[in-house]
Amino acid sequence: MAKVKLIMTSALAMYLSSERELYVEASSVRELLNRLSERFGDAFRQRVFNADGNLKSFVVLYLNGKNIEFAGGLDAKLEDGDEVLILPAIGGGTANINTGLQAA
Amino acid sequence: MVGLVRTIKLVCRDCSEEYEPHLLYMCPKCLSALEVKYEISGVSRSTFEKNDRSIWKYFELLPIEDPSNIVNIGSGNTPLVKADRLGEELGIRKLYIKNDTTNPTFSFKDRPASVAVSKAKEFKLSAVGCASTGNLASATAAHASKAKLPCYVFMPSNVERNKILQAIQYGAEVVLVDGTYDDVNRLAHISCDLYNVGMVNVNLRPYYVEGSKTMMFEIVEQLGWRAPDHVIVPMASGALLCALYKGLMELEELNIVKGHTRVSGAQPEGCSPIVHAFKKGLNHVVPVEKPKTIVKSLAIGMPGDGTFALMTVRKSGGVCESVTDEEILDSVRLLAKTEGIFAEPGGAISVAVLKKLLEDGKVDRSEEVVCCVTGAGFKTIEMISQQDVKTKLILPKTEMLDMVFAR
Repeated sequence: MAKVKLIMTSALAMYLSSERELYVEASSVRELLNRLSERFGDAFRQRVFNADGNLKSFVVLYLNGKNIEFAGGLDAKLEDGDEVLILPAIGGGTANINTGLQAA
Repeated sequence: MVGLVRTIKLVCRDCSEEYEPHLLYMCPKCLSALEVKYEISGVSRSTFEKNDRSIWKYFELLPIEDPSNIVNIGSGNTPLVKADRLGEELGIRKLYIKNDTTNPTFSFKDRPASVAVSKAKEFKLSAVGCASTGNLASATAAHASKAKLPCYVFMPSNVERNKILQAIQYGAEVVLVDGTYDDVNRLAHISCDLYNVGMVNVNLRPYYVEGSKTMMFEIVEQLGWRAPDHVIVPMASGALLCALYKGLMELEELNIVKGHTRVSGAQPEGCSPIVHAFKKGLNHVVPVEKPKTIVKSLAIGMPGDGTFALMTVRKSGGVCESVTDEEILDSVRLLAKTEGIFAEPGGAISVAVLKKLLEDGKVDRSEEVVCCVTGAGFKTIEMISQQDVKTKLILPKTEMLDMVFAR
């Protein structure tokens, strides 16, 4: 079990009533997310996972500065001192295409 | 603006939750992206037919509350050129070039930068900045200088030299990152989280993208308030394409224009994650770790609006297509030789993709097509110096002119 530093945006930390930086014990990225789900419950799950349990496409995880897509994915092994960053939604969004414009 | 009744809100792209227009760029409920929504009345074509030669003639559909916050260096009002010569070469009769090389800092990025820096002023932010593949750096820096705001621009260290030199002229703090654009974007994201800075394409992004849609407003107005059959757009993050479509939908919903426009996206083969997803029939974009293309302005391996752009193209009935670097350089020369427009490769790519789509029968030769040409050639002068440069050297003697004009 590795002790890793988790960093999230201050907005996400605020929504979770958490510190921006946390130290979490986990052996893989997937396990780290499970730990965070246990700790923060739905407040974390609903923001980070789709209804089908997959990571939302616009939530990006970085392991030591590298997008986890290129660092072994959710099964990437963690080591002591690793740093995991959660950055949501620059752009992003999947579902609705509407202008939002309403004639008053 | 007199008599305008308008409410501006932010709406989540996914869960549709609405928020007041604060400095907020992701939905607190689901973390998805937010977009600007207008509740508006009393707007018609004549609303926009005012004597303002910039994007701000469309103020009513831009997300600034107080006009005194507008930072205007004359962005927009770029030519829509009927490209007869180019059309003749490509075999298409109704072809237009939206020539955004003529913007104040020579790329379309002046449009979103103008809106974002104005919004930073409205939010009373103490500094602005951006993550840039090159063009946004100068656009943000120029507007920041006009707004008297300090500006921090982050770019990959391998961007074209002219783009670095240009950004420095506006007095910006230019930070070069030894990494990809996606590394730059990550650092910019963290910067605005830790410091009181408005990163125009990060925490000001919902407002920033609104500026880009003015390109579509102008196209429609320049066609006599008529929507074209087809618009071809360069894609990096995909944000421009989404913004153009949003602009068109807004005009349709206001009954200002009617018609069906296909929107198609263009990427270089060496960095074409959106095109790849389109062709594979995927519903999400798989990132590219290390882009391999000379078209640095489109070298975004993890396109922020990629999935949304993909869906927008599909919804409009358009296509996504990629072309090689060589095809793109050919289109730079073709555009210059036929229409007198000298574009950077990331701008001329729309012409290269049109050529391919015509050859493949994916664009009908009777369609009315607009190619968006988004940045000027002098920004990427390295591309020209790599070409076979042919000149004639003569002595300053009259008889030497025979050598020049000999046929």
